[in-house]
Amino acid sequence: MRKRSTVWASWGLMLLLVAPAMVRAEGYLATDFGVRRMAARAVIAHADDGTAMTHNPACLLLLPGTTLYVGHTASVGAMGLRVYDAEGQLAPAQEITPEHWYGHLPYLAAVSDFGVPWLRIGTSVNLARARWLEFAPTALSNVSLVNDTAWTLRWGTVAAFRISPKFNLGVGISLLHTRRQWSLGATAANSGILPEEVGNLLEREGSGTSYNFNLGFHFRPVRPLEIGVVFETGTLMEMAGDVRGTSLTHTTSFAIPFQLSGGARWTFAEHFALAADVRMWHFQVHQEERSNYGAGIGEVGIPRNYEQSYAWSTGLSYLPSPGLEVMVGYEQEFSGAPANTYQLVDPTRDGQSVGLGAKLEVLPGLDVGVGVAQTWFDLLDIQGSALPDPFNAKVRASMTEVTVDVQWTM
Amino acid sequence: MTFSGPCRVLGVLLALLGGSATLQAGGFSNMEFGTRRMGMFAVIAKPDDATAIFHNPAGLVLTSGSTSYLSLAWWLVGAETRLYDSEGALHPEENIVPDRAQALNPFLGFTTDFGTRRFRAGIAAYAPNVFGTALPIDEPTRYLALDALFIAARFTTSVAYQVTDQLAVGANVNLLTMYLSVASMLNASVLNNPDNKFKEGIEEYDGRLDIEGVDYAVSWDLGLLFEPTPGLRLGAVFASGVPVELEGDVTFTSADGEVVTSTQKTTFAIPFTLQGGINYEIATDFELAADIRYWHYQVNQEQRTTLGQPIMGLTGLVSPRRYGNSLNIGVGLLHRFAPGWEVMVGYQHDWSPIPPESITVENPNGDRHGVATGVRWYPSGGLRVGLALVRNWFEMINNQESKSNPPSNAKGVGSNTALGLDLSWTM
Repeated sequence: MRKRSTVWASWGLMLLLVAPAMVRAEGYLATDFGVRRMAARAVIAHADDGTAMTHNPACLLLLPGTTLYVGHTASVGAMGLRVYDAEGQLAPAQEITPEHWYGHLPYLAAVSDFGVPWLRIGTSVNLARARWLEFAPTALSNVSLVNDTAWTLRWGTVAAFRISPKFNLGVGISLLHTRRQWSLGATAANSGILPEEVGNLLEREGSGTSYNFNLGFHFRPVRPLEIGVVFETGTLMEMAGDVRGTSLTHTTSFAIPFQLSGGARWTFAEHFALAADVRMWHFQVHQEERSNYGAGIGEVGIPRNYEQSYAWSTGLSYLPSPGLEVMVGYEQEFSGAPANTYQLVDPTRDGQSVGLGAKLEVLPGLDVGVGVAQTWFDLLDIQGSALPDPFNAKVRASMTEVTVDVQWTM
Repeated sequence: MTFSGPCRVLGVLLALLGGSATLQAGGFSNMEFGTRRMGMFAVIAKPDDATAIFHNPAGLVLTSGSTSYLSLAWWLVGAETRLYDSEGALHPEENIVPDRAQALNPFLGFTTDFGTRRFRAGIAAYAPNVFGTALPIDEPTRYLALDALFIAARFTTSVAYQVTDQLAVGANVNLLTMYLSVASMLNASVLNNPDNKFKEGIEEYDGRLDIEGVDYAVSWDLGLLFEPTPGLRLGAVFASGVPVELEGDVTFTSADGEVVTSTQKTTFAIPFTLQGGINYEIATDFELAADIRYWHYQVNQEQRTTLGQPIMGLTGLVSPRRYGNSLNIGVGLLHRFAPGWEVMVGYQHDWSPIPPESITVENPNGDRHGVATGVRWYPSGGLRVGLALVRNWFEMINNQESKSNPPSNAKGVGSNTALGLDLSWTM
């Protein structure tokens, strides 16, 4: 019996240890950097600021001289949920809402041509994901999550080359460091191993470091038309940490999938450009996640059963006056996470977004921008949870994001 | 007739004879010949080297003089799988990975215009499918497949004629040769209870079954190439199907060393193929191209095998295949970024004809998608060198409806990487 409770406890631990802390439905590493991405939603063929480091490294050739870029994206999420009981009745009477759900994605980049017209070297430091989500410990949803603090720091370096006047190539490498601290309530599955001093909250932390590469192409067959293609490798992230209040430690592995992106931008009239992006994340690598707790519990895994994830977007850019650009955009996302392994630690689903923003050259060489995006996630109705602590619920969610950035070209 | 015990496993292996013959999700033949195909996945409307013999014979009119051509694509296949037991649990703890899984696609061709302006001819010897895999002998997959080797080679004679400035036609006659061998372990305890394949110590009662087959066939292709306006090319190809009869030996070696031999004849069909392509020079030094290929795989609804001498009472087998049709689309961009230099990028998506319950462990072909890039260089007058890289990812396989015994219910992922090199010399 002790063995059984230990096994179930390990399942309970796993629920939170390895689930990727997505901010959006699509990829593991966030893409909402820079005003063009935020407002026009389509940026891969014309990433003309420091965020080209991650959107399309080949686009660094669009930046002249030496450029410093500072940007920040803040997000606030809204969620309401009710939990199904064994009879299929929803409870409680009033929706459960998070105490807070917000994120911050700062971005700092420096790019230089070193006086050479065919070369750009850039480096950037940004949070590729950073999210704070917390529910009341006594909420009925506490079997899935109480609180989650997660961030991934990304340090990237890119070299981009002008192969011809119509073709740019960029390659980059990034160092990724992830740290998480998260908790859930004591459940029938995990209470068996909780020491009394831990109380009713099972809390863990973990961190890991890895790296990946990206390769970007930027073509300009004719002046009005730009085409971008990007491949970003996946990587295996191994996180290690403690289970607070216990003597347990864990080593947990999960895969960050590779990403394929393509985009086009067409300046179809004077002062007007239309752009579109398509992105694919190879999330099917995420079938099961494993943690090793060492002696006593050993290695355990939980099913994830992810499928591929896609997003497409389109946006319009308009230059009403010299130095001013106004953008609007739309995006639709298709999540790779199935409903039957849904957890609140990964609270997003298929969704759609609209964006609006503007960039203004306030001084020669100095651009400032602001963009806002609103995302609505599709309603989720789970009644067949396959998790050890089933989480059957009806969940609605949305998110508002605001980006501000400044770029100084010397 | 109901088969039991060893007969059922023999039946499963015989069923593999046809199914193993597809490395690609789409067609019977691997299409990755030449840097243009491998670099941008779109070649039918502008096959501008000797691989036109394979992709679109009418494209031979794009060559001039006499050209010798050599290419080689080398594939590394990656696969990881775990098997379901009768309770729906996956085994073993770690993924099963093949000991070896590789493929080759060599191509040797020669084309000439015989000094004429409108006529071209070519010959080529090539192998659209050379695929070998070996699964670990100490894993439960040994009861499904242990080794598999498939070789499909062709010798093609091709002619093309420029009918008008805007239309060219071409035709091929192909001599096909195919060789296939598959092997598996056999264990009566596993046959009685498929879950026993996960037990340790059972291997000492394993017997081994080896089956091989070979056949020759003739097929033909017809190609068209249009150039309605300068810069726009359209291509269309019809490749005939052909029935196949693989004949060869069957050998069963029991755990105590007793050997039983027979011969077998297996029939299945290579389906006909429809192909179309477009190539448009969207700007100076830029080409945007797309291909679509369709295989009429629905002709493979069942596969018939007969044995020369009965083995353990089994005289033959009719295996359901239930294939659907298959489709491949590719789109790519080519840019001449400097005199004598071209760079290409491409994307493809491929829909497999094999239904989930028919996917086998030694040939885990599902739908797939891939990316490619390539470079071609013209170092001197008649010489051209190309290099391409392809990466494909298969959609995850999650088969819990296998009809075989032992069942090949499995969950796995696969991918492959190909490196292609070609060399063309025009005299």
